[in-house]
Amino acid sequence: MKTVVAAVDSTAAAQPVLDTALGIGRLTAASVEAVHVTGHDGVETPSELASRRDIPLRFLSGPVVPGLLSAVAAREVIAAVLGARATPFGRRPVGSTALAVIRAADKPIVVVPPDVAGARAQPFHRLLVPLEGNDASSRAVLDGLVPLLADDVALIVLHVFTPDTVPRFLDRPSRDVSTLSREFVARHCPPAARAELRTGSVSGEVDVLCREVAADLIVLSWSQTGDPGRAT
Amino acid sequence: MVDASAIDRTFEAVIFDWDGTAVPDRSADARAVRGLVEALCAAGVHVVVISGTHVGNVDGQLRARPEGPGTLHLALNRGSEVFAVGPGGVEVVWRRTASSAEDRELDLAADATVVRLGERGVRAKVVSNRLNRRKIDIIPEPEWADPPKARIGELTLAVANRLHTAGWRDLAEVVAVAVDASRAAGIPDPRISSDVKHVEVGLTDKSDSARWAAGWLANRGITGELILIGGDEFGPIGGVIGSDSLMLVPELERAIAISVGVEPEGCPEGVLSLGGGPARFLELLERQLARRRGRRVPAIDRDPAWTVPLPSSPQQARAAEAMGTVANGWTGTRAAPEEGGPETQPLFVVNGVYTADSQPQLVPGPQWTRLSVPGPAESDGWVLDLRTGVLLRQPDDDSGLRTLRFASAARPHALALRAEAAAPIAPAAISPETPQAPEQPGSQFAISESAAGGAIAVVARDWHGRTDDLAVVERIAAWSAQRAGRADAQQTRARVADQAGIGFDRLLAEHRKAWAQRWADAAVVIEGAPDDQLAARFAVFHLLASAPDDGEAAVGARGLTGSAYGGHVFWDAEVFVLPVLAALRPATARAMLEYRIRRLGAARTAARSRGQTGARFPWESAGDGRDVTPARGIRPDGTVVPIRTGEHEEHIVADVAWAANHYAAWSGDAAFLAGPGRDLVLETARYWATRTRLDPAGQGHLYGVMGPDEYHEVVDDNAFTNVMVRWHLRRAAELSEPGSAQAARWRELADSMVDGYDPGTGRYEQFAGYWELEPLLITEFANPPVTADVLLGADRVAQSQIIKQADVLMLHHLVPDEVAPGSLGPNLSFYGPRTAHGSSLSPSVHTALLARAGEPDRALGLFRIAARLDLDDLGGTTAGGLHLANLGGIWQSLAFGFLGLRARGDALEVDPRLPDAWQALELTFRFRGHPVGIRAEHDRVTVRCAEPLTVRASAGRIIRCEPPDHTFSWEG
Repeated sequence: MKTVVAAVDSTAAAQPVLDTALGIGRLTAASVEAVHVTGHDGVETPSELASRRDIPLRFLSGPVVPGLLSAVAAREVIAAVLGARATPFGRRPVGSTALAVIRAADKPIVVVPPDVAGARAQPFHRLLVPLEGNDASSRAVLDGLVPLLADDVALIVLHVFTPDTVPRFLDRPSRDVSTLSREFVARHCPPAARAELRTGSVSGEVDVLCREVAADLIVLSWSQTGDPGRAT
Repeated sequence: MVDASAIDRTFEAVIFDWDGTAVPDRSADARAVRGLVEALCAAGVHVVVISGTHVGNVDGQLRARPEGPGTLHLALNRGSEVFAVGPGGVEVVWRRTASSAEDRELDLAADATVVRLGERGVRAKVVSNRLNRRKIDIIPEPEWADPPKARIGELTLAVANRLHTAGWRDLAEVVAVAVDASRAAGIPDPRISSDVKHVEVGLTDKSDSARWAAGWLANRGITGELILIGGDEFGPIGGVIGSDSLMLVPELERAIAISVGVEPEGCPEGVLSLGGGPARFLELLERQLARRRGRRVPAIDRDPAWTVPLPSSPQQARAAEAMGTVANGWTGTRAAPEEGGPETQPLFVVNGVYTADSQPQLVPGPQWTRLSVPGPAESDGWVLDLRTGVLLRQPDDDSGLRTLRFASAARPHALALRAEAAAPIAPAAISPETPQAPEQPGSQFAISESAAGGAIAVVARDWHGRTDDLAVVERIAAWSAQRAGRADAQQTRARVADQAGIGFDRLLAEHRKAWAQRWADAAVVIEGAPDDQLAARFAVFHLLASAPDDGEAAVGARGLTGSAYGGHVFWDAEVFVLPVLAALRPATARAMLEYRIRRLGAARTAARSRGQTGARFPWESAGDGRDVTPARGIRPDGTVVPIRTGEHEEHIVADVAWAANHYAAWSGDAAFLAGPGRDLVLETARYWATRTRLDPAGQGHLYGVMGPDEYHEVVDDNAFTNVMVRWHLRRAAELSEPGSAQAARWRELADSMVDGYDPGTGRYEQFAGYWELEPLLITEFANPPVTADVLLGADRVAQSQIIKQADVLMLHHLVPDEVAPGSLGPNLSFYGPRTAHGSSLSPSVHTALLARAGEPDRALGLFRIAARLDLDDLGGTTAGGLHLANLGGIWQSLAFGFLGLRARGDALEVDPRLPDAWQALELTFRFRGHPVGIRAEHDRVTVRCAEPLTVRASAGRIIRCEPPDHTFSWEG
């Protein structure tokens, strides 16, 4: 049995986390279980939110991060969903709890902004996968994500050229991009429908392409170091 | 070290000693050998018998009369004669005949040896006086009058005792005496041999036989591991080297040698000692016959100097398919796995057969290599054999799928494949489409058509069976194509019937021979740098295979190796590929020009539609000669941009004329420049005559053009274009009626062309306004080669002096007499640091020019980038096909750069500049109708020629070279 864990608390992020978890569950044909580390107050209790969605809720005790990591580590758990931070406003896009979990977990983690709109009941069909064009970033997607996906899910790969990955030769760039794109897919993510090759700011291009292709989800593989300019 | 697995292969030739190897002695019944030799020859194997004795002895005993297609040669008389044996009997094909002086020297040497033996107590006598040798019996005793091979041990002991008794150390001392006596008699290179009983003084020995065989076989593409050498006396006997070891000449270094002899003192390293005598040897021959009859997959000679292992990782699979393309000029078949798969891009195309839509592309033909393979097949073990033009698939797992395929270089319409595996492989449909009407059993027909465009039909004849516990498939296929309309099915069926009648082995033999002949005019040797040499041979191999040698040849930017650019023909063909083929395969270069000649009408129409006269060739061309440059493309930043090359990159008009002139200069084809070539040059010159604008000062300008540097798209007075046009107009004037008004007008216009040259700096301004651009150097941002427009953005680069590729410097490469003397250095210094080499066309040109500028070691660095561009897929686009222009540039950098070759009328200019890492560079090619070889070392140049040749060396030195070769000193 496959399970997607939804880590909820009593903050504004709980609702989008649960809804996203349902979507991920459908994406991966897995059931959803909510977990709540007790000891926090909130606008609406996790129990009510989970119950409304027929999601079983398990209460955990103790420190938050170890508790969540323990839940994620369970054998049947294939992925987890958690809120990026408690409120839509904050100094950093990803809070300390979320950052600690994604740094330590060895399974795909879906990080949901607290203000994500329309997450409820939205199926995930189109996944945007930014890749660095190296084996490590590809392997994380190929080994960690692709085996979990249903057949009707389309992966759209994005690679933003950096000084290290910019091609050495392109005789006719406007003609060669299609060959290069096909090769990028074949070399780094064969299950993908296509690859978009771009120049410019990585985060900017992710944002642009996400809107262009109406991606339902952005899939980031990363080194779990949280270095500046990386996936965080 | 040779192990027994070395003989578990199919050999194409067997060279063997007679007495002791094939037969126990000269009186033995040789019927079994005869049957095997005749059967092997019938199966296509070439057999060479090597013996010291005369033809009467060997032919009288063997009595074979093979009918072929394999051949039987008797290389006899200890290296002095070779006989061809056929149904009609024996015929001498080569003989070394001693002069009367040499005969006297042999007599003197033999007599002197006998005297010296006698002086030290050994009675000996000269027992025979044969062609080129004298035989001395050193144990002329009745007991040892005619010892059989089986008594070799006893004989050795008897001779040793005889010598020791007289105070001699061993037989080797006798041989040394014979050598001394021979040299004293005036024989500079005496060949002394011994079978223990005799010592022979001669002018030739078995090594001459072996060399003859090696050369004869090499001319048929049979080398190294395709040859089995059999003998029984490779090891020393009585201190003297075994006579069969003389067959191990350097020319047969990679051949597989086996001994079936007793070898009392052991076998030399590299010879597999099997023992067992003639019976064992005949078993080996029978095994070879069984392999042939079982249609086992043939072998290749895995010579590292000639074979390219293809990358085996899934990431490189499609690039590997391009690298391993087998093409014969007419067709190209990528090295896609026979079983197919999601990561493959199989492609079979026919030169010049395009679709007819607005963006034509080469019609993808039926996939004639498809097989049904149960389960996943191994991806490793693909090897392209450049020497013979075959692709071998031989995974490390012995039971895995093994295949060999080729597109016949001898028969344009023949394709062939053999496969074997432990798994039950079988033929598969060669087309994904619904099968056509049923063919006869074992045949299948498929056709690929395009609406209103070209069509390709393939008929495959399949055989499958089992042998040696392996499933074996043999496929012989034929193709027909039409540039417009239906392919001729009946013609295709007739072709495959012919080819099936010839058979796979004979098709392969013809194919190997055809490649051997191609390489004879296209050799590349780089001593001291095997990787550079292999890369250069890889380049030449694919260039030779890129275009046919008759009719017309449309050479696309990726040749026949991939679908990128739809197979469109760019300036790559005329400027980068044609100069190579003009030297290596002139008929193919002529066919490339014929492609343009047949599209002069379309080029005239294009000029007229622009309000111009003459002919304007398009930047991209396909089937009908109209401009097929796409209107738009997508840049790496995702934006859709107009493609402006078709409208503005007009230098191709002059490039075509330049190619026509270059072909004529190298081939000496005067009729071409007096006929169709003249039309080509003049019609295109007429275009410039109206395209050029004169300013009030009378200076000629070309506005709104694009040079080779496509980072700066639409410019005025691009120096490359203007100077090429100037050259073009002047050449056209030379080819015009002498004294005609047209010629005068063209000369005047040529003289008026602005060229951006600044005598103060020695530099050409790339185009009007270039000096005012931001003076960036590419090295401030990245280490070239790099796609600067991707890295920095196209707009930023366009505002800077960073350029994509050689532009001004192309002039120094193509028309060095048209640029200011001494301007190469200043322009190299200026444009070099500004060149990103973001085009695959760039590194090789800079290589050639750096060599010409006296910087061969710097040139070598760029050469190696060009050399590895496809082999290492440096650009990430090799999957779309090999970069044919770069491959051409590699050879050009060797010939025009490092060797400094240039046609000067009937004379050939040779001015080498070798990098320190290379000990020697040698190229063979054809110059004005005759084969020529140039070998440059650091202090000398050797010219090999079939006809007298005038060479212009450095400092204007004129050297008259007489055949076969001439060496002169060179201080470079």
